[in-house]
Amino acid sequence: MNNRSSTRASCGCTIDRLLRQEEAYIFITGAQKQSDTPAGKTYIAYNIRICDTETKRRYSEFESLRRALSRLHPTLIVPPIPEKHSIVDYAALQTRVKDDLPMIEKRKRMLQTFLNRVANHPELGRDHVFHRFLESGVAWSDVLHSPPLSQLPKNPLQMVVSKEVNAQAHKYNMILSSNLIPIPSATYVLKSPDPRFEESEKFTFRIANYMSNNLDKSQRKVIRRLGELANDYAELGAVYNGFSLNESGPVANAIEKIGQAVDASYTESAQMVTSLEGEFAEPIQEHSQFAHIVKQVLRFRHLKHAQMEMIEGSLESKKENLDSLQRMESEARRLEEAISRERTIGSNAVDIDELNNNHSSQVDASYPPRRATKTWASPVKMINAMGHSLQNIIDVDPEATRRNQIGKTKDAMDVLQEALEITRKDLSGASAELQTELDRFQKEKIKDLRDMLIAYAKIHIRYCQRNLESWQEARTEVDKISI
Amino acid sequence: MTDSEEFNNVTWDIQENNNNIHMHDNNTKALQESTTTLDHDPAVLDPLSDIDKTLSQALSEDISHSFHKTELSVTEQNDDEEDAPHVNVDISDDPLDLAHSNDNILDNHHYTTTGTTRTPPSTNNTSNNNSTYYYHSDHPTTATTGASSSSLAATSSSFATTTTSSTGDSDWKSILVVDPRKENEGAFITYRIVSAKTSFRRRFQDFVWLYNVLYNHYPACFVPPLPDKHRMEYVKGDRFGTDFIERRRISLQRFLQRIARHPILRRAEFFIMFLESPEFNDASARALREGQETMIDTIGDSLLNAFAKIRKRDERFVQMRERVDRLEENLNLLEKTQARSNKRTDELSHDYDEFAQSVRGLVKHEGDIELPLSKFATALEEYSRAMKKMNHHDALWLGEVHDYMSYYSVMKGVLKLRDQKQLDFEELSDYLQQTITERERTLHPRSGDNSTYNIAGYFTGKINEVRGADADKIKREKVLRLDDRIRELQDAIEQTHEVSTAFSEQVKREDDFLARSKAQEMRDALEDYTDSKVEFFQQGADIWRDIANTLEQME
Repeated sequence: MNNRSSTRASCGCTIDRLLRQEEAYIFITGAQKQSDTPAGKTYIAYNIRICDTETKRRYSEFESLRRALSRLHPTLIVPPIPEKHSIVDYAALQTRVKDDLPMIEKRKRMLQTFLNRVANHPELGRDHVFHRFLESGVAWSDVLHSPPLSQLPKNPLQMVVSKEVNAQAHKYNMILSSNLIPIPSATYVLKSPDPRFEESEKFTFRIANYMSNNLDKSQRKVIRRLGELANDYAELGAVYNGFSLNESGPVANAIEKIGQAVDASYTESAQMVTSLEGEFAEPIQEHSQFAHIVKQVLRFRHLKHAQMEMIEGSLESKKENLDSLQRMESEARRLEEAISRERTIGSNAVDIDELNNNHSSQVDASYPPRRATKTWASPVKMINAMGHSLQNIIDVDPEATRRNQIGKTKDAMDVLQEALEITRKDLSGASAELQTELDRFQKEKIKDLRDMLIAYAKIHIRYCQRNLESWQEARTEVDKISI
Repeated sequence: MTDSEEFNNVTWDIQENNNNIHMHDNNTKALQESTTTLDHDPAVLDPLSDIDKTLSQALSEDISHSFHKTELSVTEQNDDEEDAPHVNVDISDDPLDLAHSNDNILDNHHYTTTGTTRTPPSTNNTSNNNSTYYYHSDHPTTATTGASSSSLAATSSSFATTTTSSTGDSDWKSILVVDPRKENEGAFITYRIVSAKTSFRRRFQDFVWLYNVLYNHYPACFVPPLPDKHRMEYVKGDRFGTDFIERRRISLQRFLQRIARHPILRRAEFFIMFLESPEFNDASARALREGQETMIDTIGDSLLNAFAKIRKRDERFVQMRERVDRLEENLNLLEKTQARSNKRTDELSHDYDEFAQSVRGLVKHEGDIELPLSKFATALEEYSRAMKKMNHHDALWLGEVHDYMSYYSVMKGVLKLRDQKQLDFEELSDYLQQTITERERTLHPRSGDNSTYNIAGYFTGKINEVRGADADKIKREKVLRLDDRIRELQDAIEQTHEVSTAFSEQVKREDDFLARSKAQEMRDALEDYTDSKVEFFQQGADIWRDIANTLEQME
């Protein structure tokens, strides 16, 4: 088994080669009820076929694949899979959910679309994890427990996502996963947001809203009404047929033919409802799912951006911290220099200083507030006193501590600096990649929309054509009524 | 008992031989009468038209409506000491009428049919004679127009067309109802009635008049129904809504065309007057019409006999009735389901419009595919428009179905009236039988074993003995009186039977006519219905093919 971690370059595996063929298409050829153990729970396994490679996967594995792909590629728009059953569905259908044939058909259609969308995606299609999903004889749990999926960080912010940064992908990044790196919250407000992506987000939101609140509703209404009309036609056809039995001769024939035409209208209307459902209603649903996914991807970029700004922020504060420490250090050093200079001038002063120091230490220990009220003989004495009291307050060896802190801060700043560089690069890379992805997605969406419209028109052509034929027949029969 | 059974048999005989309706002994007499009437036609006409209007009206009513209630009313004669009922055939005290009573009725009746029986009639001709009979009371018409001979001419010509029923059938198509117009500041609406020769404006009331006079004067004909009054529209206040007016216009046109297609009704004076009289709307003409329109009340009769069952069912009419019931049921169901799918299609076209609006709205958000989206929306709108148009024709078909149902309820009414006629005949026959039995008993008082009668007879005898009257003489007088009554009754039965049979024959013809008429209308209606479907789907296929091509070219 090929266990090496997937890279952005072609992995060159069998499936990869199959997918690169012209007109390669993945089919879901069937679905069967299955059970791993004789007494175990049954599930529906879908047969996936590409050329002559065939494998079986269940819905939960599709779900897992999709999750894996979006974790591996947080900046890519991973196509949606059909939605899970709602709790309501389970409650209504209970154990019979698995026998719900229309649902299985719908899933087959939508899962097939999902696989082909992934396969045709310039990056996702090359992901070896995806290839292994299609490979026969591969247990999906093995894929989940081997790299890169087993090494994937819990938080995608802890790894490098763009190709801009020369670092290993799909793994914890040592620097980004350091505990010094702040973890942004979703509510973080960017200091300098990128207007392009803000616009994208608004646009996606608007479209998603319009699609589900307006377009989807109105097209659904048409389909529902067509379904009702189909039932009316069924009844009407029966009425005409009954009617023809009470007539005789050519009138009976004509009415019978009309009854048949109405029956045909019923069949065709019902057929059209199914076709529109599959070729128009489902893609529209798919697109509102897409809109949701786009939002998630944009959210990730937002977090990445937030991460960068927060690293900048903490770097800034570390720097301030360091600055003050260093200021203190240099002040202390200047003091010491001044003191040592004083020492060389007069030794008396040292005694006094020493005395004073001892005295004040005792006083400080018992009555610290009184220190401020003291009147100092000389500025030297005062400074000395200050230095000693500082030392007394902080710790026993203030100088060592200060130096230690300075060292630590500098180390942290180094890490932050490096992290900032990585995130800055990663963000700009990810942004660029995301932008390309959004553009690609928009293009694909336009194409999909056009295809949907064409499919809609074609379904109607078929409907009209079939009806036309049966009504023409009825019309001919009417002409045969002689008076 | 044996006697009564025998008579019973005679009665059945009459019933079963519809083509040979005259009772054997009366056969020749009736034929003679018929020919005599024919011989001095103008002579007969004159006295008839001299008879004052009320009488003639009464006479025609007698013919049109059940006979025995008014004419052959069974009354107890108080001046007679007998308790047996007496048949009074008279309707007025006029001695002339008394003398002619029966003949007059027969004359009147035959006179409408004489046109065909110019050759001395054989039995065969008699049946023909009867088969061409229809209820046509000329007198009111004569009174109105003042030209009895033209009335006769019209009658005989209408008869001629009855036998060769399909001549001149295409005329009806030229009758149109067009151009509805509000009159008198919207108080009512007039329609222009276009016929082959002329064109006048008439209002709905005039149609109602036409319907009423035809209904009253041609009870055996299936007079086409008028559109409903649509009371709901009055309430809702859209009585003059375009849609309502248009539907009514179509129904009225159908009404006139149905009359024009009818072999008898299209010759009716009233109809021709309605179509062609320029003075139709003059005040005096209007006032005159009021009289003609008065409904002759038939309810009384029907109510009286509501629970009487016909004993001898005529299979033809039973079947006819069953067929009508089935058809009505079918049409009813068809109207209901068609109306539902009609409504649904209307809603669907609105849904398509709404969807088109949504697609247009998407252009705002997806500017990149503005052109395909708006073209697609246009296609949706076109499709919806075509659907609305098709649905409009569906609604017309629905109206047609509705008018059919009313036509069939007319037919049912006439069938009921026919039953009534038969009932009249059967009741008279019963009565005759009773009278005959009574005569037998009077002649041979002790021959029977009916003790009740014997006791009664005994008492009568005793009373007469007390009075000192001659029992034999009384008996003789009674038998003579009974003989008279039997004769009268036999005449009346003959007439009633003739009426009943002729009515039946006419109904049969009406049924044939309706079947033909229906085939005609059905073809026209179904042509329109299927045409509009074919057109819609053709248009739909074109619209969608167009847009599919356009979209495919827009890479």
